[in-house]
Amino acid sequence: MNAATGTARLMRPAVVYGWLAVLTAFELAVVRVPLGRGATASLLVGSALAKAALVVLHFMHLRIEGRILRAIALLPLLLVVAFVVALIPDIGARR
Amino acid sequence: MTAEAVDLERPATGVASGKLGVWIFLASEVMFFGALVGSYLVLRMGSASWPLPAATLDTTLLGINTFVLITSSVTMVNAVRAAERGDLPAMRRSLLATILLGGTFLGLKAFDYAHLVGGGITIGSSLFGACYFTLTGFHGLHVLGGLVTLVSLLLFSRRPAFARRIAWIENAGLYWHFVDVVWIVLFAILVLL
Repeated sequence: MNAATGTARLMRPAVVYGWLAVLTAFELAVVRVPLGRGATASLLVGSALAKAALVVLHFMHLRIEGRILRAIALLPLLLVVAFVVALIPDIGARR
Repeated sequence: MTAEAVDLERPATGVASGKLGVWIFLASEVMFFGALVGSYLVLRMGSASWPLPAATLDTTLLGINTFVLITSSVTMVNAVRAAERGDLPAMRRSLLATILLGGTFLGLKAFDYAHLVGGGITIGSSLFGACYFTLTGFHGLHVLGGLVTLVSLLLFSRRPAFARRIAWIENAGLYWHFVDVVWIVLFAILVLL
């Protein structure tokens, strides 16, 4: 991909930083509001995933990288998800 | 001289070898931290009781530390962009800012550790302490490794040979952003949840 075209598809660093700051403030606010365990966990995990995606896509440029780097980034994430799913029976066994 | 001139994209992959190597290294790091986080989730979800992190940890201090680290990611982006346009003085300023912010993160982390140990929470005191110190400890070691790399690059940037190694800044930036991503996840599931 042409470097200039690719960079144009990235958010400006200040915009990404703004979103990261807002989401972090949101997380700090969520834990101070009595929402229930499930709702708090969902909001925190969702916010963390959004922040991680912003950094990986726009700061690490994965949004404009080719298929090889995207595959290298995605494969270990799938393995980690498989690892956690495989451990679910252990969680039940420990209870 | 541009980065492309010294770290050529390989025809077989379309990616410069240095960058490809860093991404493969980061893939192994994802699995390393994935194993730690997975183990933590099993231990926590399988425990009958678990201390409420908000009642045990200084979430305000750790929140400030999160802002410090995401700010350092922005200064790292600025350093990479300055290097790409050949503005070495601006690159050095941004690199120095990143180093200072990274140092601040570790300083606040040391303060956090001292506060916990003073309150009787150590790596051997409970399952919570073991998980907290293991996960944040390994993350802290990665931040320290990043700082050593950035300081080395800052010093090396004074030499003429650095003009042929501009791509190293981008590669170091990838690592630094990865360390930021790990903290983003740990902050949510270990500190706040």
